[in-house]
Amino acid sequence: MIYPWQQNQWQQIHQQIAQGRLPHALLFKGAEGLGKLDFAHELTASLLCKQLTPSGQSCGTCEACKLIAAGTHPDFLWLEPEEDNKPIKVDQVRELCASLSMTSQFGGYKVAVIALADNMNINAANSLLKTLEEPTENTVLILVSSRPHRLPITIRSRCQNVLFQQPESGVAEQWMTENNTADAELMLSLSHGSPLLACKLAASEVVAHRKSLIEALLGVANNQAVTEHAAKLSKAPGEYLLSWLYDWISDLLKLHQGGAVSRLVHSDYQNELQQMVAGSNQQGLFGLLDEVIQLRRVQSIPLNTQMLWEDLLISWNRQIKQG
Amino acid sequence: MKFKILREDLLVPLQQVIGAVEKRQTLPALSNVLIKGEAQGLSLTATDLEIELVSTVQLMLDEPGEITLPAKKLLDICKSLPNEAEISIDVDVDRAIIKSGRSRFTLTTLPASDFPALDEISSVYEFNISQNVLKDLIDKTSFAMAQQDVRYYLNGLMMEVSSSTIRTVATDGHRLAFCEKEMDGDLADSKQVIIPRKGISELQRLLADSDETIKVILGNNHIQCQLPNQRFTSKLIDGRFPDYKRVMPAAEGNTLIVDRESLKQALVRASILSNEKYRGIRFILSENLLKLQAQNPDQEEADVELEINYSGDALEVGFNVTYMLDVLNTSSREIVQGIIKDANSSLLLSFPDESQARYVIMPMRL
Repeated sequence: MIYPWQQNQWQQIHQQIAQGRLPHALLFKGAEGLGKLDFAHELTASLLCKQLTPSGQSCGTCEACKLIAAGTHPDFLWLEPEEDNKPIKVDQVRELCASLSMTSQFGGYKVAVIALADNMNINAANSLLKTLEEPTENTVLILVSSRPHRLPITIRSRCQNVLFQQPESGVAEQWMTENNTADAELMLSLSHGSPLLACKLAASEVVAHRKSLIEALLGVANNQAVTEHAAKLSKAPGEYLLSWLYDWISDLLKLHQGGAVSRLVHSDYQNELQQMVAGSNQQGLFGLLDEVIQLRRVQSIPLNTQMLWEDLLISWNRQIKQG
Repeated sequence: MKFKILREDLLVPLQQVIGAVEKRQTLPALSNVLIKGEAQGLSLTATDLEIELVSTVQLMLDEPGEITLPAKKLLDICKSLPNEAEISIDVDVDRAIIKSGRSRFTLTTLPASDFPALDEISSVYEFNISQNVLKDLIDKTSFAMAQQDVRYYLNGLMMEVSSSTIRTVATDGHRLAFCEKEMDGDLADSKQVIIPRKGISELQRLLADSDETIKVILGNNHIQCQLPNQRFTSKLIDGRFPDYKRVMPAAEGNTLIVDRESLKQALVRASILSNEKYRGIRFILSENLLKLQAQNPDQEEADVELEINYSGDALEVGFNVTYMLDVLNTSSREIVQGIIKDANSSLLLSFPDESQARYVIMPMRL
């Protein structure tokens, strides 16, 4: 499906199709949660569909659309890591290239979508180069990545880049309200403006842990004992907590530098944040930020979370002296 | 859909199509077999998106319909039932009930619309050919296909049909196999297709050693062979095959005539001490004598002499022994003929009693 904030990209690509200038390699890049994969899926469907709607979208009822929905369309290849958080392997890419060297089943386009393309390991990426540069006729390769900088330059330079950006807050909020999402504004703010992430967040339970995190931050700043807070935090999903902690510290830094209140991520706690600014210094906050970045980088390694949070909270306490 | 069928009538077509069902299939629909029941009978279809096999059985159905069932499980069920057993299959909304004697199985189904079956392919050229001729064309050349080459157009067998001949050519860049047969055709210019490796091996399995004719349809995207009660379709490789005519050396130069069997044995003997990776063997040709020399990295050496019929220049040239043996194994003829211009040119091999097949092997530097 095409989201309201993707209209420009959609029109741009369809103009290229109409002019017969659709590039054979596209790289969809932009932050997570903007619906790039859904866009790639819909674009593929519109390339393969036999009865396009007047607006250029797939009909959803023809034979090709039914096969796409069932995931068995022979001219539509979808590549992603075999397991979550694992790289895309060289054999998967080789298999894809072999399939793309065949003729198409229905005589039209052959489309390959590589989701999470930056998860290709270096060998996988290299084995894609030849096909990516010179695929057979009527072949379209779509690479989708929210961390395009991790793709080798040799891959990036072979693709036409299509950038997806966070929608303006009005557009996103309206869309979220239409989808019955509660707290649209806050969720969007916590998801850095990515509407799909915001929806996911609103639907999940994890957002409740944010309160524990902020309680811990406020409490420890008032010299409460760290162990109890750490015990509570160690049971929550670390990726979210670290991301929120990162935002909390950045919020403080924003206030330090005279940033507008409307730009805060944790905007619902702006009073608490403003009280804290006085007791903190920028250098210390940047130090903390580095610590959080370091921990986010090693997230996949199983650390003792209790100790991790104790450590973080002690550092926090050292930086914040609330009056 | 509802029908009763004899175990053997279902087992045979199932075994025929099961080759197209891939073992490690990630898409559930592709590990299923499509069963279509129509007035003329039952048809079974399996595909791995590269090749498609369809088998048909004559049968009166109680109720027509179409559905897909897990192929492997259905086959195992059929296999395990006693001979001559009657099987009844009754398809409900999302369950199929299979009964035979006092056994009863319930299988999950997927709708037929999820199954990527081919419709009629658009035909560009059709011809009839007897099974053994087609099989011979493939058997004589398929060994030379490349394997997982980045030049993807080499990973298959090229078939070229023109007004009076049908040719197959395969090459991996180091050697080339060529076979040609006469055929009654009515094509103005020639039509070339490249059939992928997987399709070739499946076709080799399907073709029988009989002179029964089958219909072959070449389309822009597919090749289809219509065998009795069976239909085989494969995608093609989307590329241009290299111009093989330019690689074939002229049939003139220094000619050697050798007994096939003794050359083969001499090669096998010498190859024991050839480099295991490159398999190079030095051919030293002089008046009526062929000396084979092999040397491995441990400095071990083999020298094998062989009497041949040769009156050309004295030559010293290296060849990959595996390529030589592959060629010698394609024929059971007694005599093999080789033609080579000089030590830097490629060798043209053929069997004088059977002029349709020709082989080119590039020399290697030792």
